[in-house]
Amino acid sequence: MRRALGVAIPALAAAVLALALALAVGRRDLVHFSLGGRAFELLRPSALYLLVGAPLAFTALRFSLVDLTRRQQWLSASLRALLIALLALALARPSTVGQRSTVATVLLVDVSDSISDRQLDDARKLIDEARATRRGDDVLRVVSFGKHPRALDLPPDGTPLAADFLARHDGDTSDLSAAVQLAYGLFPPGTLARAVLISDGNETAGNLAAEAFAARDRGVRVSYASFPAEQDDEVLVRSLELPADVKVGAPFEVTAQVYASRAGRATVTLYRDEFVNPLDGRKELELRAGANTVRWRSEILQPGFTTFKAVLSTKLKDHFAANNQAVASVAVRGKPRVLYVEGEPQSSAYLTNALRKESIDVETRGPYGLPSSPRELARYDLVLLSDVPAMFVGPAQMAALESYVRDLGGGFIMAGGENSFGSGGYSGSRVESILPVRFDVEKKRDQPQLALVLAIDRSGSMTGEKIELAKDAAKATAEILGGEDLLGVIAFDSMAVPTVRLQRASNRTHIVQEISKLQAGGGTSFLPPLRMSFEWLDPTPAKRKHVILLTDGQANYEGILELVAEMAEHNITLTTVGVGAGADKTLLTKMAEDGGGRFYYTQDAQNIPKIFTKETTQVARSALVEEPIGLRVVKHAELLDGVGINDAPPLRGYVTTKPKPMSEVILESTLSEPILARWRVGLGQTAAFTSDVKNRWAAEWIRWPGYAKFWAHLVRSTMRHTPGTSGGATGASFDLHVDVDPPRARVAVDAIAADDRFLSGLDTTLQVIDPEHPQKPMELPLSPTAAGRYEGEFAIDRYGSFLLRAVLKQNGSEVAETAGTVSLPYPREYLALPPDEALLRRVAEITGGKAQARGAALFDAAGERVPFHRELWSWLLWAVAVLLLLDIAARRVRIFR
Amino acid sequence: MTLAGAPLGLLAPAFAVLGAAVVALYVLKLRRQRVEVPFADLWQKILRDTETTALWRKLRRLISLLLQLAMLALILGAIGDPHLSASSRGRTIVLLLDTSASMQATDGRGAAGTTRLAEAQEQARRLIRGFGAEDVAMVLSLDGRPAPISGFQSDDRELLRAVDAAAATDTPADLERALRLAADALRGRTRPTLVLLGDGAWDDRVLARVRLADSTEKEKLSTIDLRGVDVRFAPVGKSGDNVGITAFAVRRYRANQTAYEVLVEVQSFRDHASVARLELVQDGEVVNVERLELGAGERVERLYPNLAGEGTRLEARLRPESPTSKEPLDAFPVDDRAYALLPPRHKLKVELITAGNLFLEGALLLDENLQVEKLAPGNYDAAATAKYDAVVLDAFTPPKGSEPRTHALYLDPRGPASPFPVAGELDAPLVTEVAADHPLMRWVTLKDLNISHATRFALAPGDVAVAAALKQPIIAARERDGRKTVALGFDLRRSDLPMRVAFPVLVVNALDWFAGADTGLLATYATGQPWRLPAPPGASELAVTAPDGKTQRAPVHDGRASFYGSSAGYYQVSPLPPSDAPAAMRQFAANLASSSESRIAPRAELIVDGRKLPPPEPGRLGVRRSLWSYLILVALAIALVEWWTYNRRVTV
Repeated sequence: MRRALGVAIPALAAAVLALALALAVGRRDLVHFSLGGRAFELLRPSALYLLVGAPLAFTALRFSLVDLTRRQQWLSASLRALLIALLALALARPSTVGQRSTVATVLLVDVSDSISDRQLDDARKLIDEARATRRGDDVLRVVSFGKHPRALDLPPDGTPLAADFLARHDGDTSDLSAAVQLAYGLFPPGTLARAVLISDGNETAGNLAAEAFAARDRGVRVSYASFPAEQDDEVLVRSLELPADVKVGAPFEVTAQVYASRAGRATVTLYRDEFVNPLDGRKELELRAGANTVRWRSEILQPGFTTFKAVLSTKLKDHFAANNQAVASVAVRGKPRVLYVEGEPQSSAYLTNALRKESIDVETRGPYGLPSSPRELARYDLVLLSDVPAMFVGPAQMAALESYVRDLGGGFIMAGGENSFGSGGYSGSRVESILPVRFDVEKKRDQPQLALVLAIDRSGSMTGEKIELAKDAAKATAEILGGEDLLGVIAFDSMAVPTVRLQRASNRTHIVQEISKLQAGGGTSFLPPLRMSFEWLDPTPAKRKHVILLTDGQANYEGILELVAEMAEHNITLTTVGVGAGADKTLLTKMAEDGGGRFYYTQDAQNIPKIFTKETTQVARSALVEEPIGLRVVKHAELLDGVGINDAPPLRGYVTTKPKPMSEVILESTLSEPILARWRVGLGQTAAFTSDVKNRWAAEWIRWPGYAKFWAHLVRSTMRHTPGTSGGATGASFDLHVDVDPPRARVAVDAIAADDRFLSGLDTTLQVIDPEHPQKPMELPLSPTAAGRYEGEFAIDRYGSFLLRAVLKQNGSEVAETAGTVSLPYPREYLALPPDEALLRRVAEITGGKAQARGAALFDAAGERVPFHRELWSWLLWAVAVLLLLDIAARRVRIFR
Repeated sequence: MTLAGAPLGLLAPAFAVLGAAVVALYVLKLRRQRVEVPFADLWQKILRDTETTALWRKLRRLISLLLQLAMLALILGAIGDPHLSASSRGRTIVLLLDTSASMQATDGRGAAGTTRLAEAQEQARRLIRGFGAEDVAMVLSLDGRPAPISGFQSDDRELLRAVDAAAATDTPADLERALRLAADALRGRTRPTLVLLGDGAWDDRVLARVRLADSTEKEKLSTIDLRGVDVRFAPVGKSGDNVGITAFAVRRYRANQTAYEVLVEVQSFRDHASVARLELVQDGEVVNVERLELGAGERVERLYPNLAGEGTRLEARLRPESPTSKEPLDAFPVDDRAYALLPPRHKLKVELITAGNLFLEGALLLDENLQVEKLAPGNYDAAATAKYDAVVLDAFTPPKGSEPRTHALYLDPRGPASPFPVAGELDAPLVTEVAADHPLMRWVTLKDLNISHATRFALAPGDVAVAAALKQPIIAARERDGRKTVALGFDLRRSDLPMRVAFPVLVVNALDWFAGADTGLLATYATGQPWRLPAPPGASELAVTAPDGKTQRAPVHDGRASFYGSSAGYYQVSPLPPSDAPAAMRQFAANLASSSESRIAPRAELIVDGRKLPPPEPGRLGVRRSLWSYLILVALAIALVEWWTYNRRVTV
C-alpha cells in the first residue's frame, strides 16, 4: 500500500506538472517572462516537458535498496530531481533579452574590371585593417562582387589573407545593389548591420540608389570607401551616333565619340554592315587627350536596317580591348515619294531622271494631275508643282495642298516657269499664302509700260455667272497692274460700249466701280470692240499694247482678221478667251495667232479670273526676268552641302517674287530677288524655286553635275520630316524614351498631338528589332500609364544595338509610328568612367553610413543598440556539473545517521 | 567539429578537477550501517552470495563511476557547444515568398477572407517546420523591391519570425530581380534549393528567360541563370476573377499648364462579362458615375480632359453594379481604388531685366503660369532677385559678385562677368550640334536657325553645350549648387529665333527646367519604382508621409528627392528644414496601376525552361549542426537510468 502510494504521488505530481506546462507553454515557440525586473525568454519551451522526469525521481525511493537513512535518501532524490530539472531547463534555452552594440560589418569589395590591380591591393589592405581593428564580438564578413556577389570565407584571425583572396569574377558588370542585397543575409541576428562598399561607385547594373532605401528600412547603414581616381591608359569608343532620320540615298553624318587618356595616333574605321563604309571609311587621326569626335559621311542605298560599327585600333596603351568599338543601328525607310506635276509634260524627264538617280521615287503627272484630297496627297512625301498654270488647279486641289502641308507635314515646292507664281495666275491664291514668297511685284522702271484693253462680251448668253466672273476677272486685272499701266475695258454686244476709258490703273476704285456697272444683253460682234481698242491703244505711248477679248459666242468673220493684222503691225497684241461650248474656237484661235497673243478656252466660267490674271501678268512680263543671271548664296543651308553651288552655271531666267518676312532665302539672283526660298507652314515646309527645272531657263543646269544633287537635297530637306512616320494620318512624331538598366530597358512613348492633345486609347505595340534577325522582332504591348503615355519593359538579349518601333493604332488602323534605337555596344563597365563618389555619398547619406570609412569606423555602433538574446543554458550546465558532484557526495558520504 | 562555447582550455581542467573529485568520492569507503540480524542461516547465505559476487560488486562500482564521469563529460562537452562542420547533405533553401500586391487577394484557402499571403505564410511555416536538421534556409520577399527578410538560418524560429513579419505591399512583383537575388545567394552553396511560394501570377516573359539546365543555346544577356538549383513551386490562391483599375493618372497639358487630363483604364480579367460602376470622386464627393459593361478580358479607357483645380484629390472607385450590394466586386480589392491629385498650381515669379524687348516680353506674357515683373537694367539689385523663381537677363550682364541669387536665363551675356566665359565671336554661325535630350531642347528644333552674330562660350566641366556651331557652344546650361543657369550667346534681335515656334517653347522649357517641373508632365507615381520627387529650392531633405501615416526622410539631390513608396494612396511631402513658403507643403498620389499585377489568376503549376516545377519536399531528418542539446539529452537519460539502477543496487 505504501509502495503504491510512493509511486502514485510522484506520478500524480508529474501529471499535474505536465498539465500545468501544457496550459502555460502549450505549443508556443517562445515564452516570455520577467523575473526581478529582467526580461527572460525561453527559446525552446517545449523542452520544459522534460521537467516531468524530476518528480518521477522520487518513485525510486519506494523501491530503493540503498542503505542510507531515509533523510539522506530524500536528500539524494531531491538533488537528482533538481539535476534533471536543471537539465530540462537548459534544454528549454532560457535567455535574457538585453541590448548590445555588437556590430556586424560586411565589406562589399568591387572586383569588377573597372577596378585596377592597385585598387584591389588597397581593398586588401582595408580588409586587413578591418580584421586588425575588430573588437570582441564584432563580426566581419567579406563579399566580392562584379556582376554577381559572392560571400568569401575569411581565414581565422592571425592567419594572413591568401594572395588570391580577392579574385576577380564576373568582371564585366558592377552590380552594387546585388552585393548590398546579399549582405542582408549575412548579418547574424542581434547585431548592428553595417555594409561597406569598397568600390569606384560606377554602377553598371542594378539600382543602388533605390536599394539604399531598402537598406535604410532594414536598418543597414551602408558606408563606403572609394579609391582615389586612377586613370589607366585607356582608349575607347564611347558612342556612335547616327541621325534619327536617315533616308535612302541621302548623305548623312556618323559621329563617334572617342576618348583617349593620352594623346596619340589611332585609326578609327567605320563599318557599314560588315563592310568598310564606302564613302569615307578609315580615319587616321591624332587623338587629343580627352574627348575626341570623329565624323564620317555615309549614305544608305537600301531601305531596311543598317548597322554601323566604329572600330578603333591604336598602338597606344589600352587597358580594355572590349571598348574599342561601338555600334549603332538605324532603320531606313523606303525611298521618299515625290509627286511631280509638270505643266509641260514633254520636259519632265530631266528632273524625273535626276531625282530617280538620287534614289527618290518620282511619280510624274501632267498639269491636271494634282489630287484634290489631302488623303491622296498624304501618300507622297513632297509635291512639286512646276510650271502649271493656276487655271488647271482647282480650289479643292489648292485647299488639299494647303492642308497636306499645314496639317499633315507634307513638303511642297513650286518651281518656276512662265506659268508659275504670279505669271501662272496664283496671285492671291491659297498656294501663294503657303509659299515663302509674294507674287505682287512692283514694276521696275525699265520695264515697258503696258496698255491693256479688256474686251468683254456682254451678249445675252453671258448673263448670270459668266458676266459676273468676267467682271471679277476685270477687277482682278485692275488690281494686278502696276499703277503706271493703262487699262481700258470695253463691253460689247453688237456694239462696243466703253465701260472704262483707257486710263492709269492707279485709278483702281474708279475702274472697279465702272466695271461693276456692266450688264449683259444683246448680240455679238467682235469688230466694234476691236476697232475701239485699236483707236484707244494706237496713240498711247505704252511700250506694250495688248487686248484681251473674252467671248462665249460666235460672230461675223468679216473684217476681223484684217483688223487684227493691222493691230499687230502697230504692235498691238491680242489674246482671245473662249468660254463655254458656244465659243467659236476656230476664229478665236486664228485671231490669237495673228494677233501675237494666246488663245484660252475653258468650259468652266470659274476659270475666267485665273486666265485673266495669268494673261495679264504674262503680258505685263513684269514677273519674268529672262536673261542669264548669276546666283548668290545668301545663307549657307545644309541642303547646299556637297552640291557645289558655287560652280553652278547661270540660269536663263526666273519669275520675280518678293520674300515674305519670315521666310528664309537661300539663293538669290544678282538682282537680289529670291531664286530659292523656304519656310515652315504648320507641320510642313514649302519652298519656292523661281527659276525652272527644265530646258528653258535651266538649260545649262540640267547638264551641270550638281543638278541632280541640288534637287535631291532640296526635295529631302523640304519633304515630310517626321522620323519614322510613314503614311500616318496625323504625321505626328512622338517622343520615344528608353531607359536602360542592363539587361532591362524601359520604354515610354509620349503621344502628344501638335495641338497639345494627348492621344489616348491607342493600341500600342513596341517592336524590338535585332538587326541580326530583323524578320523576328520581339513584340510587346505598351500599356497606357497616363493620358498619351504608353510604357513597357523588355530585356536586352545581347550586346549590340537594337531598333525600337512603337506602332500606335486606333481601331486597327495605324495612327503613327515612332522609332528609336537602344545601343549597348559593350558592357558599360568598360566606359572608363571617373569614380562616382557622388552616388556612394548619397547612399551613405540615405542610410546613415560613413564616407570613406576605414579602420575602427567600420565597426562604429554609432550609439545604436540592438536587442539581443544572451543564452543562459551554459550557466545552467555549469550549475549542473557542480550539482552532480553534490549528488555523488550525498550518496558516498553518510550525512545523517 | 568546432566548439562555439567554452574553449577546450577551460573545459579540460574543469573536467580534470571535477572528475578527480568524483573519483575521490568513489574511492571513499562508505561505512556500512550496523544492523543486528538474529538468524545465522541468513548470514551464511549472504556470505556465500558475497563470495560469488565479489568481482561483480567491484564492477558495479566501476560502472557507476564511469556513468557519473560520462555524465560529467557530457555536461562539460555541452558547455563547449560543439558544432558539426557544414554538412554536404543539408539543403540550402531560399524561400521566395511572394508579397506583391496580388497576394492581397482574398481567395486564399482557409476561412473566408483569407488572403493569399496568409495562405502562403501558413504553407511557409509548414515547410520550415518540415525542414531537415541539416538544412539552412533564407526567406526572400518578392515584391517591387525583393530583398532577404532573414539571413541564412538553420534556426526555425528565426525563419518563422521572418515569415510572420512578411506583409504584402501595393507593389508589382519584380520576379526577375528576386530570381537573380536568389541565384546570387545560392551560388556556391550545397544542394541549392529555391522554393517559390506564391500565386504564380508572374510575368511570363521573365519566366521564359529562366534557365534551369545547361543547353546548347547561346547564353543571352537577359538569361536568368538558375542552373543547378532545385526550383520548386508551392501555389496559393484559387480564383482569378478580377476587374481592376489598371491606370489612373493625371497629366498636365504641355502648353496649357493650368489644365489636366485624367486617364482611367479599367480592365476585366474575367473570362465572362461583368458589369461594374466606375465612380470618380473629387475631394470626397462623387462627381461622376458610369456603368461599365466589360466583356471577357476587355479593357476600357475613360478620359476626363481639361480638368482644372489645385490640390484637388481625385479618386477612382470601382464598385459592384448594384449600389446596395455589399458584396465586393472581386477577390482583389487593391485595384478597385486608385488615387490622383491635381497638383497645386504655382505661378512662377520671373524678373525680366531688359531695356525693352518685345519678342521676349511677348513670349513671357503669353504664359499664364508666369508672373513677370519687368525692370530696367539700371535698377537691377542682386539681393532682390532671391525672391523670384527665375531671372531673365536680356543683353545685360550683372557685374561679378552681384549675380542673380536664383535661376537665371541670360540672353547675350557679355564681358568678364558672363556666367559662361566668352571665348570668342562667331559670324553667321549655323547650329550643328544640339543636345537633343536636354530638357531645354524638348520640342525645340534649331535647324537652319539664322544668327547674324554670336559669342561662343568656354564651358567648365559639368556645363552642357545645349546648342553648338561646329562644337563651339552658343547655348549653354549649367546646374550647380541647386542653381540653374542658361545662356544664349546671341542677341535675339540678331537672329530669326523669335520668329520661330522654337522661341516661346525654349523660354517655357528653360523656366520649366528651372522650376524642376516634371519633364513627363506626370503627377501620379507608380508604386514599386523609385520616385524622383521635385523638392523646393533650399530643401536638403524631404519628409514624406505615406498613406499609412509613417513619415520617412528622403534626401534631396539635384533638386529632386529620391523615394520608394510601396503603398497606394496620398503622400504628404514637406521640406526639411521646414519652410514657410505656401508651396512648400505638397502632396501627390501613388497607384499600383499595373495590369500585370491585376492579372491575378493563380497558377496551379509553373512550367519553367520546359520543366514543370515540382512541389517542395520535406527535409531529411538528421542531426542538427549544434550538438549540445543532444549531449544534454543523453546526460538526462543517463541521470534517470542511473538513478534507478543506483536505487536498485544494480550500480552502487
